[in-house]
Amino acid sequence: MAVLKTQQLMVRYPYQNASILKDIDLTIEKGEKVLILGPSGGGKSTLALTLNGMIPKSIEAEAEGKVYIDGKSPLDLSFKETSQRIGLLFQDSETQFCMLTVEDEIIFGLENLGLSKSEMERRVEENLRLVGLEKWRTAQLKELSGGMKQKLGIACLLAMDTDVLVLDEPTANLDPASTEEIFDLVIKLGEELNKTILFVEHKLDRLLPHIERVIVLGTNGKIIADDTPRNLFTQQFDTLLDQGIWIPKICRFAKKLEQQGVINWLNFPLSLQEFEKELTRQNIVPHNSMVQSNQSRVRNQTNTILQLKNMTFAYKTHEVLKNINFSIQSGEFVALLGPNGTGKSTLAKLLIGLLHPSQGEIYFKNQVIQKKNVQELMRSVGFVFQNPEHQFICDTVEQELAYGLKLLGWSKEDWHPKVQSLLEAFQLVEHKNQNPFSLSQGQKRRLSVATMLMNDQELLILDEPTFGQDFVNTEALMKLLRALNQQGKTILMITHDMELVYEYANKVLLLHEGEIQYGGDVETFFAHTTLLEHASIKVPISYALKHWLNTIEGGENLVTTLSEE
Amino acid sequence: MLQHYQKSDHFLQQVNPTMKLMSLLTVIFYMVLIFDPWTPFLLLVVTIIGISLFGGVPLRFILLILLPFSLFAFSFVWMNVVFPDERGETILFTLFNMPVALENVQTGLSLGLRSLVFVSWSLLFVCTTEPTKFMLSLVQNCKLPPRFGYGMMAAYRFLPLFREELNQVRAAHRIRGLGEPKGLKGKVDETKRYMIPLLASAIRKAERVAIAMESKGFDGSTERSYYRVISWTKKDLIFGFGLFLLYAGLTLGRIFFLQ
Repeated sequence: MAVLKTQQLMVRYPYQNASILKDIDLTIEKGEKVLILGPSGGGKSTLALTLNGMIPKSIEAEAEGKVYIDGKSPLDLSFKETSQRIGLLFQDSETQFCMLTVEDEIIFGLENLGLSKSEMERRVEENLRLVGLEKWRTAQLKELSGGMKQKLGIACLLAMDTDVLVLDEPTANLDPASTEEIFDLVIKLGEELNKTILFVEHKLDRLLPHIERVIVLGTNGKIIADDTPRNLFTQQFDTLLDQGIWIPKICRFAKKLEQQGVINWLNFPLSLQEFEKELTRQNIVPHNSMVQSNQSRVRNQTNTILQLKNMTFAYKTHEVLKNINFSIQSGEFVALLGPNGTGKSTLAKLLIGLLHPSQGEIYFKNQVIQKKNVQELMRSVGFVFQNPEHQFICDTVEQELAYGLKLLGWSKEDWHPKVQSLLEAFQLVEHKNQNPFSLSQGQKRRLSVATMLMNDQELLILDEPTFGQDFVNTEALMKLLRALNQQGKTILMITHDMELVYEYANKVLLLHEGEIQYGGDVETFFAHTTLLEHASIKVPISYALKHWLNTIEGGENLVTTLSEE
Repeated sequence: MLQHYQKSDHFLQQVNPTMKLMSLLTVIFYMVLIFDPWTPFLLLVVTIIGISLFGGVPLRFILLILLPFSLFAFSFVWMNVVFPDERGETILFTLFNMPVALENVQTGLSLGLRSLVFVSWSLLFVCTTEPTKFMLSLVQNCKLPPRFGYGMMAAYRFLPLFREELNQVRAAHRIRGLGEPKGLKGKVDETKRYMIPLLASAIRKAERVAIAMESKGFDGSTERSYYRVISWTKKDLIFGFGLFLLYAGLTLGRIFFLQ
């Protein structure tokens, strides 16, 4: 019997004309591993919340049609009964817990079910072991890393003994190493325990080989495709592209090779392994020559804009950054990399004078920045925070942009044209009278970058600007940064996304264990296998692909198309 | 540090949180009727020794926390000496041409020490009670609806997150060119500016955590089982008896020495 079933499901949020979900007919059998894809804001999370009855029971929305879990409607089930059938893991690992310690958090759910103490004990022990957190049983939640919190989230769901697990982008806020761990764990446990799993996810490279079925929600809120991943990406490729749905890089690339007649796929690849296997089968072998570094990415600038000399920073007695030396030339696009907790944000704060070095100097255009105050420095350096909302201080978008200039004493005649041109450049003209808080995620991000460019700042520092942003917004932001870089702005960006690094940056700084372990060219960086392994950084797919390309006849020409993707 | 003390298994940590909360109330009630400085002084000493002996909290730690409060307590003495309702007759000495009377010093000391007694008993409660255990005790022993109990727990968990977020907002605003606020109006404006992003995030967090709790089968009702049962034990009896002895001793002492 189908474990999940919907019939003609329609959901509409209050004050919205269009339904977010429409005519959804779904049948999911026990043990299926299903991936749900769709454009951002396209109702994937809404679907997840409707399946367990949170919509319309707890979240105000109009819902029509039928939903069945195990043949029963969630509307007829209590929270208790629903929670034993379907479990949700959310994106934000911080806001899905309500207790202080690891064991209390698992116990919370079990107490809701009214289980006996011995049964609770058994389940806590078993499920902590399953996710590998048995040693952390009595630890405080705040001691856990983001990845461990999501593992605990999984343990909580498993402890409820649900058949269905819905994972709503649980890795969106995690670094690549933790993301892989979570995927591996879910895939392994899903197989072992024969759980039905619904993934809402767009980091697909690891996941896709384990997925049997992909359901695609279109911009109109209807299901536009329901197929195996291989069929989907071979046959419905153009439809997906039209709908703005993210297609794994490897698939996009394989498709391009096919369209250009370079390769005829017998087995369309969904992962790099499959790609390589297929090429080997077709007798295409890579030669180990180093790929020539893409010269156009490196600018011939000798103007040093930022320089650190023997800089050390310590919190109390703990040395966070040790003897840091590097310089950034004007016009460079620098990616600052490193595992979580290595002090990347601390370094960024030092660069704009929010923190001061314990030893050594930081020079901005040959002037020691410790001698300048923050306001002075901000006229030439822009700093974009992780959460755009933190930066907003005015009631309208226009005022927000004008704010810095007004502070400098500009009159309205002077700032108005400037604000106008930025509104246009950042596609915010029609929103200029809106409150910044009422903007969409992507618009907020654009505004936060725009406010930092009002004074024609030459250097722009961004602290994980793509954190928690969906694919479409990420790409829009990166294109914008590239355009700014081409206009001559120097950009320093903290990020975890190696694809972005490879595609956009022309210099890499690797911060690991308090030291700059690498500073230089991007191509060379990804060739340092041991260094990467040590800092648990994965080579981006486009980099791996590029090596293959040089070996394929006519492939060299595709190198450029690849980075234009 | 605090968590470490709350978690240790000394006597006071094993007393039912509700019992400790009630004892705090009785202390407040008892002190209302007392105006001499000796009784609160004695009670203060006994409390501090009690926390250290039966709660395993180092004296240094307790005194360090009491230090800022003793400044506050001293202000009572100062107020009573400088602005007495009625100047006492036994002039001890004059300070800047102002007579300092024994009676006024005594009233001030009494009030100041009384405030320190309240602080020390609150400290006894805070240092020896895990927040989770307190909440469970309120729900299990005092019939507090779980809806509020677990809601409070979720909110408590967010407090450090808010502080972190406030720091981020502060840094972000500094970068926008807003320096340290000037004057009262500046402070008010600053608070207003901080409130909006913090409130927006608080509302979002509250919504998410509520959905997460309900998804785990929480319906706020009393129909749930408990892994940790906070029961009444012999320890509570001993604690109550000890408290009774303390009050009895203090009262007797007052009768013999103060009349």
